[in-house]
Amino acid sequence: MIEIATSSTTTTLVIAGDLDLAERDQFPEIAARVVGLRRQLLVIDMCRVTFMDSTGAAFLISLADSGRKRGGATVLRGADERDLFVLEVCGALELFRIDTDHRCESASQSPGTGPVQLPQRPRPS
Amino acid sequence: MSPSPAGLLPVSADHLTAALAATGVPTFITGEWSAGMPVLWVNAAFERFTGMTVEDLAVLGPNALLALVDDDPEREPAQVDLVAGRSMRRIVGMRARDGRTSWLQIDVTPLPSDDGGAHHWVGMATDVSEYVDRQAAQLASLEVERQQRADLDLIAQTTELLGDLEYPLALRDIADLLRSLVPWASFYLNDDGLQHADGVDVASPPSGRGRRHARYVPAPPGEPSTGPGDAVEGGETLAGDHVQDLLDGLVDGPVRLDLGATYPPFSASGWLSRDLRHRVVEETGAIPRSVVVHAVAGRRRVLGLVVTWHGDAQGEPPATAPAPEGEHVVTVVEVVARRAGTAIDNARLYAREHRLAEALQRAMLPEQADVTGLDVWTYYAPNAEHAQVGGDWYDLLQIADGTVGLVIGDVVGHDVEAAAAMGQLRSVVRAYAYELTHPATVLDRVDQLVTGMRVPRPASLVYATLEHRVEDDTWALDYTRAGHLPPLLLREGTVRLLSGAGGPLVGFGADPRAVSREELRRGDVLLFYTDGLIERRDRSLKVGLDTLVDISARITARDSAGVGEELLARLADAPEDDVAIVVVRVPDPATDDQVTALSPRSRRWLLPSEPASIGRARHAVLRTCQAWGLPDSAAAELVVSELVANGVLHGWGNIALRLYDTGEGLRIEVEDANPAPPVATDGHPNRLGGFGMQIVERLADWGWRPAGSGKLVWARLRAT
Repeated sequence: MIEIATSSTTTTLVIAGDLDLAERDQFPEIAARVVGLRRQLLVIDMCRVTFMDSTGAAFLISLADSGRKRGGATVLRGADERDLFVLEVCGALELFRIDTDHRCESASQSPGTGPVQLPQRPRPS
Repeated sequence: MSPSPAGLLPVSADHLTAALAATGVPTFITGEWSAGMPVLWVNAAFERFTGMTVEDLAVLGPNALLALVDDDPEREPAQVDLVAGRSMRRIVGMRARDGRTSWLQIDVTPLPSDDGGAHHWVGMATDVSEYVDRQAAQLASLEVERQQRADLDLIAQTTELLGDLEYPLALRDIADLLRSLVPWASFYLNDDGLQHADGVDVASPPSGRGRRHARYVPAPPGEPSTGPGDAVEGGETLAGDHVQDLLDGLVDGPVRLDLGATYPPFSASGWLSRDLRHRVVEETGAIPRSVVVHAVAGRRRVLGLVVTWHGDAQGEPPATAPAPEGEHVVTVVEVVARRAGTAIDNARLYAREHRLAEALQRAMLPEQADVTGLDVWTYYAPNAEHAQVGGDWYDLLQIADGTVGLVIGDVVGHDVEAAAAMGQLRSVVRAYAYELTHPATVLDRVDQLVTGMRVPRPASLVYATLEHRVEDDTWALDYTRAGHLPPLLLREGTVRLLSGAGGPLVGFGADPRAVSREELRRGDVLLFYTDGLIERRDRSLKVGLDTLVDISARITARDSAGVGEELLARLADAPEDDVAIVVVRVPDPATDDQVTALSPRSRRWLLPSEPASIGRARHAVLRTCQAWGLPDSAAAELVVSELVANGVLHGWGNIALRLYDTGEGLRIEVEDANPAPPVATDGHPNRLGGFGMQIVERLADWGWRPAGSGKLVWARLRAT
């Protein structure tokens, strides 16, 4: 799930759950809305992202890239080590300002530990 | 006594003159070169042969002899000898009195003179027509042979090109080959109207139907455009639409299309001639006057046309009859056209059958829905010998929060009819399962409906519901059986057959169906299966069932995939029928982390090709790493996500995921039905997913190999 919040200077994108191919359908619309808001600063909150692969990274990169073209900046907060690794492989770390001071409210969900909720598919109607 | 020249009778000069005059070889004597070699004397044979006397020749003026013979390219070098005063020999053609061409070998020798100059020449002409004709015939037959070889070679090359019609420029390459015979050639296909074609869209149906070629093509510059039709009102007489006749199979062709003629409005001939005037001018710069049109015939219909322009040097024979001199070209084009027609037909029919079979297969393959709170593993293996479709199926339905429906069934037979019956039955059960929660009610309704539907095959099934009770985290299992083998309940090393609530096959339930109930605790495993798992020709079903119970009692895995793997490892050695298995495990947080050493360290899943499968595959990897006690599941999760995403994006068909513990890192295998290898691009910043294989490369050693009809991509995680 992806939520957009905005103030006079900042757009904040709060992402929860998996950021992979399964979510790709909503990427273009969100990108268009973020660009349409025309804020100087884009904050991407990754605290509740459970997983991100190259498809998700490409989405973040496209957001940061279009922000930079307008002279804006993109801050990444709450991204775990693996998310940063994926962005690094994509050669895109310099597009982001990494917020290292941020402490997520909820306990960070590092994958591979604790009970993992099975992904749920919507019921056929 | 040997004769000696001295002993011979001397020959007088008179004799020599008489001999020259009397010989049957046409002989002549001329003056010197600078005087134009005037003919001074000819013998009788010469007069007979040419019909000319010295007087007649004198009338012709200087170089009279040259006027008698045909022009030939070797005249110049021969004359060099004459100028230099050397003797000369050459073969010339000469038109005799009767009009036939004779071939003469002319020998001209200068007569000796006092000052050494060539003042007189004696010439002799030998008739070598027979020899030259024979040689010419030989050359001609050699040429014919060479031509035939070239034609065969061209046809062979065409056949090769037709072997791969998926190549988008296949037809253009064939047309290019034909252009070694004629100045211009090209293909047109009639896919809902004529279209110029560089290649074949094999996905399009093998139709050859449609007449929408009346579309407007702008007239070439300088010609008045007359819109979609050609005929101006009350205009000249219209030519017949031979091209449409060809397309309709009314004539076999080839037909000659006069590009200057006026054709009826909305006619194929009109469309084609407009398109050709454009295209040929554009590609060759020449303006064609007429072309030859061959039909590209498939089995039932004419699929398209091959159009060849032979150049317009010759006169125009009437329509429907090609120029006779292009006979062999016409034959070659005809053969190529016929082969192309068969190949296109075959490719399209095959593609259609293939699509149909694949779509059916995909539709028939059971899918695993994820259900919240339960660890589910499913397996389905249609009998490979029977067209990859079968009568077994399963379904997992999240009916409501905390309520799960589960069905496993088996329609007798493993052919397409069984698969079709299965499809019907599956929908019926699904529909009622969402409506009604009680298994007995669901099965009763299914019975009623199936009786009326006349499903042609007997079928068995087990239908069960699982309801979660939050207070003590237990699950209530209600199940009913319609002629199906009893499910197994595995609890702490003991196995129980859930053989309650048995009843007749689907559709035969005269009495209301019964229901049995079980309480499921944490760590319990339910095992649903079809008879293919245990049925073997060499043992009874009872023995098979006992074996299954024995094996199940020894299962140590604490994840559903592991349970399934152990079952398959020990049971599905040589399945003779379709096999479907559903393993449902109630997770047990207390013991799930414990690593079981005895369980085999391999897992497999079959995932539908859809984005939701990526998350499912990640979950499978996490659970497996947990079960095997492998650290660094984060990297494994990333690698499997990229590999499966590639399979979903670029692969075909279902995706098989397999995991192995190699002892030196987790090995991940992802198999799909697309034979094209994965590509590690340099990354396209504007394209999603370009970095997938780079991520894999950073974390693992990877490779791929062909597998079945598709490929298998593997990755072995490096220790970090």
